[in-house]
Order: sequence, then structure tokens, then C-alpha cells
Amino acid sequence: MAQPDELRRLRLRRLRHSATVQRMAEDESPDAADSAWQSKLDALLLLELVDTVFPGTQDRTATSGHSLAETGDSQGLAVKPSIDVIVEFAARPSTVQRGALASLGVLLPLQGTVRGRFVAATIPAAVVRDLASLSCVRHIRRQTSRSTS
Amino acid sequence: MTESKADPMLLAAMLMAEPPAAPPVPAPAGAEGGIEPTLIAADLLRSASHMGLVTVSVDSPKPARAVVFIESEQMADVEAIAARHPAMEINAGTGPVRTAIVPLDVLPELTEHDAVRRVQLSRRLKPSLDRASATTKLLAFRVAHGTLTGKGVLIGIIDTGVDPHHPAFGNRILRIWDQTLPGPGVPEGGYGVELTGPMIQVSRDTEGHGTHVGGISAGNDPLFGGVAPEAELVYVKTTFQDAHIADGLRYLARVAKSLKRPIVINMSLGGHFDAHDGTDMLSMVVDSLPKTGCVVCIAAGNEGDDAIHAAGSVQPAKQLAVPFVVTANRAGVLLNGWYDGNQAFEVMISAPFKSTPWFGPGPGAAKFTLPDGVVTIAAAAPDPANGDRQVVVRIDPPVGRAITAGHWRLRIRAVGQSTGRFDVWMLDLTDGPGEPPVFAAPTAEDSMKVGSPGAASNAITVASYATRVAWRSQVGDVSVNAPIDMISSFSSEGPRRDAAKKPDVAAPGQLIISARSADAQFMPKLCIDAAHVVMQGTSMACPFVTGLAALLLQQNPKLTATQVKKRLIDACAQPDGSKRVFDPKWGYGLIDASAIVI
Repeated sequence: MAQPDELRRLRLRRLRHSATVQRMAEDESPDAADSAWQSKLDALLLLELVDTVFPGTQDRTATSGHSLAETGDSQGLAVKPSIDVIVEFAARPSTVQRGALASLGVLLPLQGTVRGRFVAATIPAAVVRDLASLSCVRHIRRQTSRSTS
Repeated sequence: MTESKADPMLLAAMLMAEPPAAPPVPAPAGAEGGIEPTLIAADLLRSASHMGLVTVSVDSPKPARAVVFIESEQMADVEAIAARHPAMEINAGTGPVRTAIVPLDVLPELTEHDAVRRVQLSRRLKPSLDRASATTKLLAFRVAHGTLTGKGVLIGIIDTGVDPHHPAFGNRILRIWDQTLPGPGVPEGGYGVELTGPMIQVSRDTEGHGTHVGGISAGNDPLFGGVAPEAELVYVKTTFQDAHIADGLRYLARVAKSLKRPIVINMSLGGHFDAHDGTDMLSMVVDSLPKTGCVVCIAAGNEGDDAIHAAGSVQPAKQLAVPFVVTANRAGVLLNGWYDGNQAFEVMISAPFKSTPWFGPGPGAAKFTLPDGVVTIAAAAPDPANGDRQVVVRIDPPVGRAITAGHWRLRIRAVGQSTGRFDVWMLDLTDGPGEPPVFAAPTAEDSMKVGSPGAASNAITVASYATRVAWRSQVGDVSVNAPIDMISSFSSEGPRRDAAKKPDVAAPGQLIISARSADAQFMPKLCIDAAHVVMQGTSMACPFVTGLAALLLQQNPKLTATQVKKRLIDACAQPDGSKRVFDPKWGYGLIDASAIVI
């Protein structure tokens, strides 16, 4: 359960992100500072953030890549899904970096390592920006599903 | 004889039993068209054997008795007939369906019995891989290398699980990592449960796909045997999330290393969220597996008949329009587009009634609510893996309404002097029946439909070939209207987006009979019996090659994946017989097992 301070922080972040994305959509000239972290995300993850981080979220259609785990609170905020991602680090994450991640509420690995510096994790959509802003993080992709053929 | 009670094959058998009108006259030796009498006899023997006729000899090639099913009233007394004919044997005295061995000259009397409804000649069922084995000359390979059965080799299968009770697998399932169950996981991932020993018996395959795949690669079954019937199996029952599949690959590689065994990993699965160039994460994990004694076989995909790919050229001051048709009752549509990361493109969606503004080149995302649907566009910065840019468009239903069915367009235009090719794949997010959305002319292309992980460079990617169009199910004879001895139309075409050659080889995958999971539901017309079922797809072609690779690793466990792939490709041929020639649909052609160099 999210704590009140954390909820205020998340609300502020959502408002900030909302302004950013609206500006991007209207002016087609994304702010350089905001695009820096966004440049570390793949398009499928960016797509998810439109629905999960920013206000105006509508009823969602469940698609692949969503964890069953969800985050939310009891004070009226909409329940936001967590997202299954694969985080690529510039190098294998160090203990210090894992500590920094833990302070953001991101525990790695949550679902096992994929390969060396690639780590699969389930993270709240609200912390994607903070995660992408870390210098040790090179790229973040949304996990996708496969089907039998 | 009451002919209405006799099935056509029984009537044919009666004809066979009739003495010839005149004795055959042997043609002079060396004369054109001459047939040796012994060949006639041998042919009769072969026919008789297939048709359930018995007591036939070369000296007297006239069949004397037949194995039959007798459908009759529950308590019908046909024993009286048997009592009059000592050569007649009835295996069950009562019941609506009985089996018997009947002298052919008694058949008229049997069919005229009031209580007998129908007499049917017994058929010898053919093994699932009979046609596949003949077409690929697997039997010739076995004759030449009879000791190769896959013994000592592990086959790892990442799929829907397995029916551990199926007799085709015996005690050869060593471990199952069930990722779908809650539990402590394994070193490669802290989720799911690893089942070993007696616990393997609790596992279930409610989809039936993984069981069928296992039967083709390693089933040991007198009728429907697999390619490597003595290989041992390790399963990953997966969630189908790509990260979990990747963990499953590493798990299988570790298990093989700990057991000091070579391993062939089968992945009859795929998707189209990726760049179709082998640079996605899952493909990279495939390519990072041990080089020696570890081979990965992957299905090419079943989108050969589906217009899921479109492409075109974007030029300065000249936009590209990619038309697509959204069909009724779609829960969601996703377009996955890719282009050169050194270029900058913008995109927009023209729906039947309204259009979005231009958006791009990113990075960023925006949502546009149109009367036709809610359109979300996300454009990413160049992907570090391949340097290319990805643009994703998702169309969701507006609140309280369906997505407008009809003709839509994805439009792409260059920013400044950017130019280049734009490729896009369609994903239907609907979990249910109905026609999927498709791209339309002129940009729809039958190419580049091998997605992740089949696009992985080191994998052996398998296309499907048709060896069967009919089978006898529990509810009767079934046939499909499709070409035979031809590449399956549904088999996905290559090459990759970077022009690398995929798929690699073709193998039988259309209408294959193999192991049936007792916990899965199938249409009755697909069920051969309680233990076997018909399925088709590149999913079925892939384990055929997996089995062949296991035989090669049994012969030489030190072979690298590249060496195994080369030996299989060298044994392939196109329909015109040409070798080492690549075709985007066939790969390097159909495998001829007898041509594999051990």
C-alpha cells in the first residue's frame, strides 16, 4: 500500500508528466530534458505510460506485458497497473546501484535475470521515469508475450 | 450378400478374394510392361496386410480371412454362425460393436444376419509420421543409422506443458519448470515451481500443444512414434512472456550442463512485437547460449496466409499511405512500425471518419480520441540494439462503442530530407473469434513474417510442409481441401528485415498426428483416439527438426549449433531439386534425412 507522502509525490509527478506529454502532442517539440529519459524507453513502454502515468486514463483493455500485480491506494486514486519490463544496464548493476534502485522502490531482480546486464522486473508505472533517469540504465523495454505457433 | 451392410473396403476385399477370370500370362522376360507374378503376389500381400486380411501366402495369394468390426444389436447371437464355421473367430460374444476374424466366404452369411447392421473391414492405422517419414526419408536414415534414437540427448521444450501420464513419454521426462504455478522458482527466475521425480506426475497440459510437440520430437509409440524416441525430456511450462521464455532457455542450458548432456531446445512459439531482425531480447538470448552441444529449433510462424506485414518507401515531400482493414468486433489493434534510426518520420492515422494530427518523430507518446476509436501513438528514440526507430500505434474501442470497422490508413511522412523504407506489422489484440484486421494493397507484402524468436541468427528456424490432407478421426474420415507435398500456405515467409535468410529449413507440419494430452479439449474430428490427436502448424514442423538434431547430437555431442544447422541445410532441397538455394517461403528447402551427413 502506498504511503500518503508517496502518493503526493506520485500525484505531482503525474501532473508534471501530463504537462510534458500534452506539450509534446500539441507543439510537436518535446522538451529536451524530458525527452532524455524518454529516449531510453521502447515504443511499447511509451505507449503504456500514456495510459498508466498520465491523467485522462480511460478504461484499459488488458494486453500482454502487464503483471497481475497492481499498485494503488485507498484514497481514491485510480488503480494503476504495474508493467513487466526488461531493464538494460550500461553494465551489470552494482550493489550500490541496486541500493539506489531499492530506494526508488524498484527491487531488482524481481523475476530473475535475463542475461548479464539485462534484468527482468515488474515495476509500478509511476517509477519508470525515475528508473530511466538513472545514468546506469541504458534502455528499458516492455516485456511482450509470444503465442504458440 | 447384403451389400448395404458391407463397407466399400470390405466389398473390395471380396473382389480380391474372387478367383481371377483367367490366369495371368507372364510377359516374356525383358518385354516392356511385363509384370513378374511374384510382384503381383507381393503387391497383394502388401494390400492385404493394410486391409486387415489374413492367411495370405505368396504361394496362394488369395486372402482367406478378414479382420472385421461387426456392428449389431446389443444381444445379437452371431455365435451360431461361428459355430457352423470353425475358421471364424468372434472376439466378443455380445455388445453393439464386436471384432472378429471371418472367412471371406462366410461374409455373405454374416451380412445377411437380421441382427447385423454393418460389417466393416479393419484398417491398419498408419503412424503419424508415416507420410512425414516417407517424404523426408527418415526411414532410410534410420535404416542407415539404426542406433540413433536420441539416447543420451536432452530435448528441452518450452511450451504449454506436458501430459506426464502419456505412455509415449514413459519415464523419460526428467524435470518440468512450471512457470505458471506460484513457488520459489529456480536460479534463473524466482517464480514458478520445478517439478522432479514423482512430482512430475502432478503437472498438466490443458492446452495440449506441448504434449503434441513432445510426441513428434521424442514420443515412443508403436503407431505414432517420434523422431528421437529415446531422448529424455525437460519441459518449461511457460507463461509465454518473453522474459520468462528467456529464463527458460537459460534454465534448460544449465540443466543440460549439470547433467553433462547435449541438448536440443524446441520453441514452437513466436510473436510480432519485435523488429524482425533478430535483435530483440529473446533472440539475443537464443544467440548467447552455449555454442557446443546446444541447438535451438524455432517455428517460423503461421502467418503465411495473413496480411500482417506492409512496407513502402518514404520520400521527402511524398507521404506513404498504408491502408488496412479493421474488421468487426476487434478488442484492439496494434501496429508495430520500424525504420532507419538515422531518419526522422512522422505518422498519423486516418480513420473512416476522422484523423489524428501528425505525431513524431519522438521520443514520446500521445493519445487521440476519435469517434472511430482511441488512437495512441508512441515513437521511440533509436533502439540501441539495432539503431532503428520503432513507432507503435494502438487502436482501442471508444468508451461504450466498438472500433469502427472499415478502411483505415497509417500515413508516414519524412521530416526534412529524411528518406527510407518503413516496415509495419499488424497485431490483433482480440482474444476470441472473428476475422483479424489486415493490411491491404498496395503496401501489403508477403514477406518478413518470421518474428521473434524465430528471427534469432543461431536458431534453426523451421517452415511447414504438407504431407497429409486426410485422416480417420473418432467420428469418421476427415479431409481438408489443401495441396499436398507442398509448402504449407500458412507457413510464415522470410527473409528478416535486415535481409538475413529465414526460415532455414522446411519439415512436415501440416495435419500431424501425435500425442494427445488427456487434460486438453479438442474437437472430436481432430481426435484419432484417446491418446492421439491431429494438429498442424510450424509448431509441428519444428519438433521434427528438433528430433533430427537430437540424432545428430547423439552421434557427436560436440557438434556446434552452426554445424548441426549446416548439416541439415546441406540435406535440404527445393522442389526442383536445387540445393543451397534460399527461398523466403521454403528456406533452403525440405529436409531429406537420408542425405544428412553424419
